[in-house]
Amino acid sequence: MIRIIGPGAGFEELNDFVADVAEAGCDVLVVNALRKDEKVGIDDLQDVLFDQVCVEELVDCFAHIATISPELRDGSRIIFLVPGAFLGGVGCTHLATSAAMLVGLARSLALEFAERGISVNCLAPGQDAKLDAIKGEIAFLLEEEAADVTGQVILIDRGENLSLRKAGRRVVS
Amino acid sequence: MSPDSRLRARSGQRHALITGAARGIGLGIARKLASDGYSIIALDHDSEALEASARFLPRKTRLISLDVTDREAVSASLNQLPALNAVVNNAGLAGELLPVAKLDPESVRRILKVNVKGAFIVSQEALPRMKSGSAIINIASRGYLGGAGGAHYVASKAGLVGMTRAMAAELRWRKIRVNAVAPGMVETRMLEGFTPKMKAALERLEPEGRAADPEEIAGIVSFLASDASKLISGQVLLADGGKSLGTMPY
Ligand SMILES: NC(=O)c1ccc[n+]([C@@H]2O[C@H](COP(=O)([O-])OP(=O)(O)OC[C@H]3O[C@@H](n4cnc5c(N)ncnc54)[C@H](O)[C@@H]3O)[C@@H](O)[C@H]2O)c1
Repeated sequence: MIRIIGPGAGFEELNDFVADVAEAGCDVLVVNALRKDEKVGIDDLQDVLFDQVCVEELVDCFAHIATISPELRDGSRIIFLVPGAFLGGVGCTHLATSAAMLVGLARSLALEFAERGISVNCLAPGQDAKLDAIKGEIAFLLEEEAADVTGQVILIDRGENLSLRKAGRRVVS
Repeated sequence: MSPDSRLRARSGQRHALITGAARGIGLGIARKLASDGYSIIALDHDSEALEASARFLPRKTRLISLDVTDREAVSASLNQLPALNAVVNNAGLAGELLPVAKLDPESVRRILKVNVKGAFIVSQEALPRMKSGSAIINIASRGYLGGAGGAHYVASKAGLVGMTRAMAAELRWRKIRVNAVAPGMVETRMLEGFTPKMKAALERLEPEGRAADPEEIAGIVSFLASDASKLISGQVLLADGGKSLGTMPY
């Protein structure tokens, strides 16, 4: 079984790609929360947007996982695709909050599902990443050899998060 | 104006708003910040418990009874307040320790609304009253790091930490600091869900061998509200005696 859930858009080929690389006998659940980053300054952040991104999308995600997870076979893989914004950033209050919630959810599930041999990890690409940029890491997590990697977040951003150069930016672009 | 309040006006009375202040960690924080000299604004949706807690707080304490998820009530109420030096988002709910397949959407929504959206509403409404040099402190939980069962609580506290970092990044230009405290087990009503046997077993896992007292968390909040932590922003202080270090692989 291969299932892709989550609010992420623009990754139509994801399903085909996962179907191609997944080993026979290994179910894969991908939670795709990669979205077009819509930055909003803290003073302008409205309840409608916050509710959508930080409450309702999460509630949906929990509900999907609640129904799908009991059906996953032992040794399955769950991969969360979350915006690198989980680390924070200017104009990112809603994005950082929702992404960090997904990372928390993934880490909790990693422990809950450990005894079934189901690994749960997060891939966090930098801004505007295309599927090509994270294919290698998806393929790695689906490999037999990666079975023991669980509860981890891999940032795929060419070191962007390490740079302090943008610290001087005051405005929300 | 009494001589006393005239003196305070001249010396610059500091004001602190604490949510979920009717009991537990929130009341401990309110008491500590009162003893630090802040004038206290204690907020809780449990008006009875709030009234009852007043005897532990200075007479001039303002009591505000409302639900942190009620945007209009928070906005109307905070508009009446003086400038705030410290805002402590402490109001929170514990989620049931259930496997993810047993969590119903309504309880997930409730936890996220109170623990995350509530902190967002209170912070956003407080910001116009916060001057340069003031601080927001979010009470997360060691649980934000993970833990099997209660994934909704874990997610909510992880979200609060994400919010802490994002708001800290944005508000640094206004010189408003935003930090989080992530307590381990604390002796409050929240532990009432455990049987005595379960509670004792959990306490044995704490490096201190017992649940912490609210005062022990309050001291950390007091530090994060004060100028002594002027250079600290966007951080999570884990306050669990080191339990979150887990079992090191080496
Ligand atoms: N007790 C622990 O072991 C522990 C550990 C880690 C973190 N925490 C966190 O510390 C905070 C305080 O917890 P506590 O243990 O003192 O719990 P508590 O239940 O004793 O106190 C919580 C207070 O928040 C109030 N509250 C709840 N929802 C509210 C709402 N919607 N609006 C306004 N007020 C509301 C309650 O009425 C109560 O007075 C929570 O955020 C909790 O998640 C507690």
